Amino acid sequence: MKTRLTGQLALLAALSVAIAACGGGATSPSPGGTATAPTATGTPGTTGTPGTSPGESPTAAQCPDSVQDQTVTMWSPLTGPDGDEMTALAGEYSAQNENGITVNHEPQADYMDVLRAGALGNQLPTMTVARVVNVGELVEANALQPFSDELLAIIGDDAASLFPENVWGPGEYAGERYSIPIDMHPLVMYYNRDLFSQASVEEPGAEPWTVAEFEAALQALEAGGVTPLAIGTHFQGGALFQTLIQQYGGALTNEDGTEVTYNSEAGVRAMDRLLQLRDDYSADISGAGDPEAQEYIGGSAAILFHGPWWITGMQDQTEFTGFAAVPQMGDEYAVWGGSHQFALTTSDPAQQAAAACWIAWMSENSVRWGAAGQVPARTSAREDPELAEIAPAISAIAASGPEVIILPQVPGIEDALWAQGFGPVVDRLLIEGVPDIQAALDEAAGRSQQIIDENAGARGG
Amino acid sequence: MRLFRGDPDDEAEGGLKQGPLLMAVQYILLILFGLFFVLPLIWMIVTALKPSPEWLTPNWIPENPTLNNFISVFADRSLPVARWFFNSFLIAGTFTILILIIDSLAAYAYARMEFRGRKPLFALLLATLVMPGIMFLIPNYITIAGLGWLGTYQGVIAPGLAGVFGVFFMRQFFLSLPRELEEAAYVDGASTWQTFFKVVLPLSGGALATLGVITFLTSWNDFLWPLLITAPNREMQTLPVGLATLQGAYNFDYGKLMAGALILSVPVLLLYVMAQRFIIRSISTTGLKG
Amino acid sequence: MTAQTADTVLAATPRGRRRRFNVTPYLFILPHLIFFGAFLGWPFFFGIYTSLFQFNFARPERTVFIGLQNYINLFDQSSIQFAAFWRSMLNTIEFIAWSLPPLVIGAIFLAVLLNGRFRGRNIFRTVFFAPYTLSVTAASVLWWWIFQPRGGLLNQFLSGAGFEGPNWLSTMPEAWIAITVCTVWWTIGFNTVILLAALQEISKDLYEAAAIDGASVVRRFWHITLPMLRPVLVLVITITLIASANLFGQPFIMTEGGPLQETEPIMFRIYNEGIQRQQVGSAAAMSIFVATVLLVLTALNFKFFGQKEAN
Repeated sequence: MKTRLTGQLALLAALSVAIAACGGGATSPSPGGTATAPTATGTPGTTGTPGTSPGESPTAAQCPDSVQDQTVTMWSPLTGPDGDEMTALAGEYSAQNENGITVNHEPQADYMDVLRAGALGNQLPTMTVARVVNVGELVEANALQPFSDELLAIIGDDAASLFPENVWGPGEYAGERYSIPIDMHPLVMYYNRDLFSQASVEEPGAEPWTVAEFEAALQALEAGGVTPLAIGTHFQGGALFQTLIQQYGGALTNEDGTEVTYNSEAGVRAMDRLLQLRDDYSADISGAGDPEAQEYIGGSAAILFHGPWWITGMQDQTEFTGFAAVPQMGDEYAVWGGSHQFALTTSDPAQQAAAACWIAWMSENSVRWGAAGQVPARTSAREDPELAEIAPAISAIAASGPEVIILPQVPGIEDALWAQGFGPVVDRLLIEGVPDIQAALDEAAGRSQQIIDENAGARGG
Repeated sequence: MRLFRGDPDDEAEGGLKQGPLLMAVQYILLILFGLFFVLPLIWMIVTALKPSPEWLTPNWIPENPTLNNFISVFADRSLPVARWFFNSFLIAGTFTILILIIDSLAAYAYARMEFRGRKPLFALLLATLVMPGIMFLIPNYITIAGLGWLGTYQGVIAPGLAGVFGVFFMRQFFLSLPRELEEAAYVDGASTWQTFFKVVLPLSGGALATLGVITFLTSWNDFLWPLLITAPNREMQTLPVGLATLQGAYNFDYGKLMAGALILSVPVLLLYVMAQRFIIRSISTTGLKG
Repeated sequence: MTAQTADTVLAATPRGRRRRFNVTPYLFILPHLIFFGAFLGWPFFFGIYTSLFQFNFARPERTVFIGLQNYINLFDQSSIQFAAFWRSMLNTIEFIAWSLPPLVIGAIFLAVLLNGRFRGRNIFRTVFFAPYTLSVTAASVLWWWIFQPRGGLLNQFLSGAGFEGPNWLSTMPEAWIAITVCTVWWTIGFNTVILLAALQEISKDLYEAAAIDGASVVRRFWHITLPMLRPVLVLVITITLIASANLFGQPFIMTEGGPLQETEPIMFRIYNEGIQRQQVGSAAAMSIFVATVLLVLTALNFKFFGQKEAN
């Protein structure tokens, strides 16, 4: 109980926690954590030509000579150790580049609030790192400037071809390109190697497990006296639901995000499957703050599906963790995830060009970004054999990168779908059961639809 | 139980004797409640001394105790920790002094003076108290931006000076003061100003010190507003904002979090201890009490 | 304390004769009023103004006048705000019921306990106040961990004593108990310090006189202490009520509003509406509605506790 001033503090302190804590359902969680010494297992990289990969245009980006002596200020949500690698890359570029460009990485706690306020007060930096779901919102908040064709040319001859469609597409909003992908971060399968060998279960390889392999492993673990899974509510439950619904051929919305579709048959099957996995193979875990992760860390469960921001934590806190792509648990393959993107906040052309030069360099060298616990979005970086050395854990999950489900770029869509829509239904399913899943999903979908429609109305007006 | 203020200079405690049974009860209760307050704090300290992965293990004595969580804040030379401390002290200190002056002046008027519009004005003050703070954020930000005060100390301090709590607080204290002294002063020919400064304020040492500590704490811990105002100018960042940038965006480092929280709270606790001593001393030297 | 009015006092002032315009009070309130007008008064009325619009700060061309629609939505069952708003209102009222009594009565109790002269007084006073110096994040994370059902401090302790602790943060009403315990631990120091300061103002003579008359400890408390505390109690109850209504951080971190949105307070809704959906006008309407309810409660508080002068 405090005065109003500290009420505001509470508000934002909690905001920063929401973003900092292991992905509350309301915001789009993204992975984080720098990778420390690469002790985790991973598949050895394949040999190949470093730097480029077949299919990508071989032209490197060209920073125009006219761009000289600019200072680029870059905000980001990557506070603490999560952003150290980015700071290092920025420092390296600043020292190396021949155009006299200096890049200053300034992580911001609560970066959305800071950006929105900055837009109102006309105090924006040169550029920012943004979570892909925030791009539309930031455009609506007048915080972003589009990339012109000239700028895109600096980044690459055919910038779109450098990245898989799932992370490139959402960077376009209202017909303009507003962001360039940096990484994608899929849900990760963490598994306890000790418990696996105890139950004589073979570790997963570079390719995600098929349904059959997954089921076999679950049963073998159980037979070996091990609790196979740790499934909880809140973020994890919601992320698993989103993974499963796509694996059953469904989707949360239609392609442009105007129609809610998670109350389809695929949605019901996803709910059933989630419940079945929890009932058959997991202890009864619920609550905020990721207690299911603690269950796994404590050695009580063999497999944990969670955000990739746990990678560093797992490497620190457990000796036994292996990393793999989330298995196929349904009919097709898909996996929930997010993405970081570069976006411009300044309208000054010289500054914009300098930013584009930095983006180009960073993107070319984004195999290094794996050290930060992220999967580089650039195809060449993901296929770079160096990735296995820099970040074996990332290399192990890199294959699932292009399959990451990113929502259509509609401001506020994630909140409308998840926290105000299916999230509470998933929680209720796991905590006390839902007698009529179809009806519950219908009701939630109706609410999500209403919110999406009203949001669109407020924007279109 | 002692229901009257003790006078440290007075050997004889007055007519109220405290039986040994009552004293024992008092101490038992103090210790019981004290445990409730102190055990979680000890746990915080223990957690801050554990290296990061160990924080969840429920042992009270760390297996690998380390001062790293604290040191890493101060030792990293790229972090302007001294600057953060300086900014916080300057802002919180200035803010507290201004609040004490402005609010006690206003409170005295609302408590003791008759003037047109007193009641509706005070009601308006109270009305803003019940409004959720989120309402004031953006309009104030726009105002501060319009004044060109983004990234300045005054930009951080100014909106808080509108605060009603201090006025409310001092008003209630002034209301509970017996009027005899003020009336005596008037009779002696003192003006309102003189009465206020020479008679009322000295009697209010306890209340002012209490309000001072609370105000300092509020300003010291303030996060959101300084975050927004100092974003364009990192030199101005306060301690809570600076410490927040050390926390990973996606992962709590619980050991560091607890260490940071402890670092943040030490100055205020010291201030509180000093204020306690001041309150006790000020009470024992004023005329009317006891 | 006699029941003289301020009029009598002013009448004795050489300058302030009755009926003559006295500029002094206005000078006293002016510094505060300037800041108040700029940073509270203006946004307050501006907030009322925005509540009549579908307001857009970033793109003013999208601002649309909709009259009382934002308020009507709160009472319209078919609106998206309706169900969540009232659920969180009820949640908040529940929390106020849980937290107000311990925060006020407990604080009185603690202040009495800490008053007076005894060994270790400063240490105890510091310990009781220390939690209040922490940020909401630190305090909430701490208690989140203590209340963890599997492996948290409390359940570990209980299982050592032979009991099986409940799932504190995922069942009701345990979740409210957890949040209340955290809140009380964190903030009761604030109330206690204020009441302590008030207690220390009470004159010793009153107690001595009562003791000579043979009054017991309880009677002295009831007939001297409580009445003398009245004005400050009004403050403490009002502030506690407002702060409990503004609950946000603790459930955000400890339960994320769970188990099934049953600990989601009204500030969650306002934050979701205003910040996440960027529907500033709607959030303003919600805020004003909540504020009005609180204002009524505050007025009642004043009526019950504030009016009578001590005899």
